[in-house]
Amino acid sequence: MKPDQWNEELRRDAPTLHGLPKSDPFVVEQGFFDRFPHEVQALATKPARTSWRLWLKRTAVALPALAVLIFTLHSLQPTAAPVADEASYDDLLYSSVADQMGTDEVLENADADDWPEFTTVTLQLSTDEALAYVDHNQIDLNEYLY
Amino acid sequence: MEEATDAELIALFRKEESRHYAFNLIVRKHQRRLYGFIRRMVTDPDETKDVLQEVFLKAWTGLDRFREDAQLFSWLYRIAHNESISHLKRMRRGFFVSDAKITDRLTTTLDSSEHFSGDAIERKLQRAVMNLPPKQRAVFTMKYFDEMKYEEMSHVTGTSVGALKSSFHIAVKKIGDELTRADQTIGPTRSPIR
Repeated sequence: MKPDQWNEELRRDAPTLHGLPKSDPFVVEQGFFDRFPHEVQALATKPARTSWRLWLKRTAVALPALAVLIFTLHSLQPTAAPVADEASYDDLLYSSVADQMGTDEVLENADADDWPEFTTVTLQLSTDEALAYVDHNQIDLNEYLY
Repeated sequence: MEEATDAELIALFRKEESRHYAFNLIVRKHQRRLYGFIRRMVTDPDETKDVLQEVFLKAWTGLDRFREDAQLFSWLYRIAHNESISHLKRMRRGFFVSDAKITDRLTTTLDSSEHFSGDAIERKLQRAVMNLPPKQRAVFTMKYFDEMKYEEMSHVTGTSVGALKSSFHIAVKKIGDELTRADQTIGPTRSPIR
């Protein structure tokens, strides 16, 4: 765009803007442009920070972040269910509901229908079986004769 | 002593023994114009200095890779443009506020008499410029104050010439409207200088 054309457009579109002088009203500190090249050069040529310091700073940030990550992952893992095989025989034996109840409670809840094996059991041994039982347990029958 | 050309300065920079000297000359040669652009973008003098420092530090590390066929000033200007926009974005992130709040902050800085020596109408102009979105502000500053060609602006901003023309036209219209409103309260404008 030629300067004349540019001026004409500016005059037409923004007459007030066209009428303004182009000055630089911003105040710059005295001596700024004399000092600045030295300042920026000093920054540019400043020796780079030693790598161990850089790594120390990085580690100082990375370690806590890693700790938080590990803790988060650990807490997100599902808790392992108890393994039945590891329970002892006694644990299984005493883990019935009845064991957690008092004697009175057990008696109150002892409905006959719930305990059929205890109310209907009868012993019917043959003579030979009875003799074998006496013989096996070395029972002195004379004690029962009196 | 005649000022060295950019090509000469780059050649000097590439020699180890004259590297620091050449860099110093490059900063001296381009600092004022880049400062002017950045100052119009971020307003605050301390922040301007920080951004300008960043521009030259990036230049220091990137000059070895600089292609000789490109213009050094355009390349520096491009870094200044990107750094200024990034700075304004960081301000927005840092304060968790809108562009309007940032503009308010910039206006407060502008209203400090130690930072600004312009008269009432120049203050109005700068306020109107600060009300533009950052990228449009950059386009307006490059064209109006720095009188850059659209082709050069296109290289700096990475935007097409058509889009830049359109953006500048809209910016001029916005600023013109705002100045007209301000003019009604301030009085008649001065005569044009060109």
